[in-house]
Amino acid sequence: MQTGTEAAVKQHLALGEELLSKVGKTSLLRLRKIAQAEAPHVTLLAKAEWENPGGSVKDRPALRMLQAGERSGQLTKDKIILDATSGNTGIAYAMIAAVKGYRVQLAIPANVSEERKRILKAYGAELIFTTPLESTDGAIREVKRLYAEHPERYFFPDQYNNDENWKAHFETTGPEIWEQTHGEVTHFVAGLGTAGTLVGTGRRLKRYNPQIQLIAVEPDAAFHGLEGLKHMKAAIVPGIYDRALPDQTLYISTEEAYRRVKQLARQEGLLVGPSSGAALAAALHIATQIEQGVLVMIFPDGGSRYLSDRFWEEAS
Amino acid sequence: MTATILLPTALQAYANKRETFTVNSATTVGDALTRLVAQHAALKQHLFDDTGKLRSFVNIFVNEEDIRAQRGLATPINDGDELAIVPSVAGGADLSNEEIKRYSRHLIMPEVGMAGQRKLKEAKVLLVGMGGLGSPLGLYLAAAGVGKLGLVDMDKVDFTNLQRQILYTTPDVGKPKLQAAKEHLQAINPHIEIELHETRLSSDNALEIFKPYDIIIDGTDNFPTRYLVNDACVLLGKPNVYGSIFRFEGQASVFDARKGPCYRCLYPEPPPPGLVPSCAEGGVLGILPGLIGVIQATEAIKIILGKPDTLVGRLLLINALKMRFRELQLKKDGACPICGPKRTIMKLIDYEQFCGLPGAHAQQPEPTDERQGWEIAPQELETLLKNGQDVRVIDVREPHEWDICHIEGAQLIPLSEFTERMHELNSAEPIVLHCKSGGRSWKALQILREAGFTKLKNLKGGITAWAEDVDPQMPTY
Repeated sequence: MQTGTEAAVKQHLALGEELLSKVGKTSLLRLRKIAQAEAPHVTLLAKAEWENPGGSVKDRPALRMLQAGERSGQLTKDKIILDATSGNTGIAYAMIAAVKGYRVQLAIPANVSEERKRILKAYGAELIFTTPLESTDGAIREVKRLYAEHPERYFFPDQYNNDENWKAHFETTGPEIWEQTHGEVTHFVAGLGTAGTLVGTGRRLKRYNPQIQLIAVEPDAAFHGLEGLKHMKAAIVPGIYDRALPDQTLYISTEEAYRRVKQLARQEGLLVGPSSGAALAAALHIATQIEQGVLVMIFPDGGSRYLSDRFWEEAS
Repeated sequence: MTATILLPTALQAYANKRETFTVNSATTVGDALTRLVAQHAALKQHLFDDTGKLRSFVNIFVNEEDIRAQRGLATPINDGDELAIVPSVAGGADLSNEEIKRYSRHLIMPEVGMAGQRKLKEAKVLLVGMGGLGSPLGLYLAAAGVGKLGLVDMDKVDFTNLQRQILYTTPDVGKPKLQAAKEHLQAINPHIEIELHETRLSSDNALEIFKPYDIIIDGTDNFPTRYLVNDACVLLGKPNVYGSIFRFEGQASVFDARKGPCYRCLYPEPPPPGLVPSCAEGGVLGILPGLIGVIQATEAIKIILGKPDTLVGRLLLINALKMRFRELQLKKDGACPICGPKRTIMKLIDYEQFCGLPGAHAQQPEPTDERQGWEIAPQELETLLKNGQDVRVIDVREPHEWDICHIEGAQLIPLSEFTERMHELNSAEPIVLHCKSGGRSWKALQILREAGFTKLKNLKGGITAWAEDVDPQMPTY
């Protein structure tokens, strides 16, 4: 009987797919109505990164950083994956670690939204709360302290300074966009947080065709509300950022990005996060400068993680 | 009724770099914010939208409670309340509660305070050399909360270091200094960042290594590196906090060519090689680098805090044996080749050559050919002595060195007394001269040769080689 069951299981081994094999290969969606209304001379294409199993673009670098840690022997089963992130990278670590069987500890400011905390806990991540007054910097310091105390206990991927971060995009996001646009992409628009997406995808696209314009998107002020993005002038510049790479940097206000998020939901049926709104806002600014073009934007995550953000309640 | 509003780093630029704002007689949060933007108009657009509403991503906490969980802008405030403005994402470089506790003895002094402690946290200081001076420098600057410390050294910890290099412990012997230094400094203060530059500082890499730092502290022990550090600091316009030590005496100053003299204004030319002995040759009181290093650390902290009255333009001379502190006024040299108006040095040069040294990797002068035929190896001497050969062993070191160790049967005639006591020797007897490593005994040999002695040998490598090759029980120093 038992052998019969085993044989049956074996016979069906080829069915279904491994979850982690679903990281990447996201859809490239056309924004038909917004382009028609505001920029009919260009093609607006959005890379739907929320399709990744962890719900954001961060699955790509997180998976690659953890795999590189395994290959180099720095990440072993007895190690705890440790990082400071209230955002999508934390969720990506937690999801991948659940699949691979690692422990994850994340330092997060105590004022992170309740839904974030619940997502992280649902995947089994252990949370260390730091003071809200210090925002993510407090979490970063706590992680550095823990790591300095017991470096042997942890694997600390350090996404801001880890080359595997941008290489993930160099190896996947870049080639995907090239193929999905049949090489016709003219502009690539991405927000700057760790800068991994822009640097990795950008380097690949420039290699295919040096004429492709790389557009970096930053918040317009150090004090902003765009989760995941950095105003580089006032921030610790990530080690992997290559300032010389983007052809242009556009500065988008928090409110403009919020307006675009609402527009995307209501006109295109796309519920996305604020950084996607910032990318669309930047692409539409670029559209005013050019006569034609194929503009590819990165839409890093979906909007369900931001439903408790107050801008949804405001009129407009 | 007085309340304090704490501004995040991101907003300080719009409030004349203020970190706090005090409001009197405001009864609600809305009141307090109105007064804040009345005073600092540039803040208004960052906090409120066009319709005068608080921007949706701006959070206000009263004593760590979010006002949105209370009565919003109508939340009442009481005397002594603290209002914090926090964006919903990404904060600035502020101090955590743990850091506030750690630095409390700084924070309660108005000369440092929160503002000064934040400056310390944002400061980047490079320590060139992690030896006697670098040890107290590292310990105190790390403890004080200097946000980034760069360390330059490439030595390993040696037993002879432990007498004064208090950053290292006995189990560290044999480890690379930087590795041990980082462990100890990070244990003292996990809140700071430590960057290691495990390399030999040279004209090729100095500018690149110095560039990211605000202050360079010279804790080196040789002239080529001192001139290199000076010139690189002048070229980059950075302050060079100088210290040097020898036996019981030390010097300290701050060379900042933008405000005063540089090291070359004080010492235009290096001394001839060999004239000024190193600590390894001349010795040093273990406490002295502590004294000087702590003075350097004090000056670095004052520079970071922006305090006047640093050692710019002054050279502090310390004699620990007499316990006297003296001060010399230093003037900028109008003819200084690097910081003067007619400068001739436009980029870093070859400092080994400038200091008359043969090259980067040949610091110990190799015995020249002239010594050939006059030398005897330790094993050869041992054989002679064992066979009962008639040979006199003369130790030309100083009596305090003799007390550390000596070869049995040897006679002590210090080089300093050699000419007067030469008559104690018999030119008919074979004589083997030795010192610590062969230099002084070579000089003694010349004196005897000129006096007509011929049966002379110099012990190759001195008593140090003897201890290594013949008598492993003998201590080395």
